[in-house]
Amino acid sequence: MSPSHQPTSTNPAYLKNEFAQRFVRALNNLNHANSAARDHNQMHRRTSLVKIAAYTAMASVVGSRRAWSRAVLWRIRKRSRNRGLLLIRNRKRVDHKITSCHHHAKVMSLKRRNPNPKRQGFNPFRDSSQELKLRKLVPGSGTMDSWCLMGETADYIKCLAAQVDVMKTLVDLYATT
Amino acid sequence: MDPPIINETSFSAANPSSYSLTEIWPFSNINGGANEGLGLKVNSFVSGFGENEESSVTDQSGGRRKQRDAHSEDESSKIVSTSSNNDLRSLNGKRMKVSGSKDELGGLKVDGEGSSGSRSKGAAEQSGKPNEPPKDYIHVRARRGQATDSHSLAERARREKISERMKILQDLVPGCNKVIGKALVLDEIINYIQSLQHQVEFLSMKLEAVNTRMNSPIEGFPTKEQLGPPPFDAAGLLFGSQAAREFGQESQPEWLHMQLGSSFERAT
Repeated sequence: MSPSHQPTSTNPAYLKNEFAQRFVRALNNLNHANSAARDHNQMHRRTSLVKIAAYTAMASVVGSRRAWSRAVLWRIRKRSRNRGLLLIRNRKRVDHKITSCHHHAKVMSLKRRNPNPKRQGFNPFRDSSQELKLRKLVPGSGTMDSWCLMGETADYIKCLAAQVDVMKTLVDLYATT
Repeated sequence: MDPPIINETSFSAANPSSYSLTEIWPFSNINGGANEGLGLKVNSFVSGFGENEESSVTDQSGGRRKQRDAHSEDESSKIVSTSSNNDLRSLNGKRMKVSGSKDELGGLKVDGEGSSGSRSKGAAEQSGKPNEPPKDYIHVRARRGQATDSHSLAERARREKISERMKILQDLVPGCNKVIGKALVLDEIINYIQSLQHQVEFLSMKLEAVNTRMNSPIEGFPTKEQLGPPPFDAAGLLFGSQAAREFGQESQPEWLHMQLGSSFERAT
């Protein structure tokens, strides 16, 4: 609860610098890893990899202070873990693992739902469909109450704007070279 | 000591809706008349308030006010009178947080009495006696018709915090300052996040294209000033060799090599 009381805690310049460093490093790694197979069929996959790299870089800059960054990092870790399982074991086991993960998440969400029952009565969102939309957009906001959701949204917007800014700059730089 | 006992029993009935005007009338009369009878109850309330020295009741009239308020709260929030001490204390805590001018205290009080419906007659009769507004109230903005029980006060304080946070969000989203209305602001925020996420998607597509075109962009990363014309386009090999000579003087042979390699690859 305590970090979400200060929605604007991180310095934007620091955020951008760190993100740019990490993202560029990740792009480099991606390039080295993908240099072998390069055809147009894999363009979509590579795009998604770049996107994931960008989100991961931003989430790792923010660290574990925020719920949304924790959610992003956790999702990526789960993804890579499943991917590793996919390589090692057969498909059936992976499916089993995924369902158990989902079950675990569901149990956790049930446990964590509504930490303060006094807050239940008050909802800043008059329109609950808007809140649902917002919860879909902000990662990791499924289990928090609407009071935390607003703080997380503020921080997420800030980080996302910085991310877009840096990525635009990078695209410009690459395009001119 | 008769009247307080009557009060106790009537409130411990825990069914506030059963109060009629005839039950309230003697209560208010007692409040007006028997000061020493009330002393006991006032003292008990004072001991409840002992934590914050600002709200400690000193004179009888203020205490009576408090007690009456507490009773109306009991009625509206359906809490038995034994728990009213805690309730009041938490209420006071809420009030302590919200700061404001004390000029509008009268308005708050009048509204509080108005909200407790059937009691307003007794209040009107009683308002002649304790004339000066008690100093131990801390202002919570309560307009006409708003409830003043602890739950509503807490909710109002929380709503103020929410609107503060809304303001922060509004400052973050460009062009959102002019928008009025919570729903519209939320729409704006949602649209902004969506557009940012789409931008990330689009930019990563672009970056992917550029990134694969030039193999290792980072090790030798040229700035814009170092480059004259855009070095590689559909012109292909010839231009590439020329660029090789042009960039040979610069200290990024590795990057250059990669660039050349990619251009070769593209040309074939």
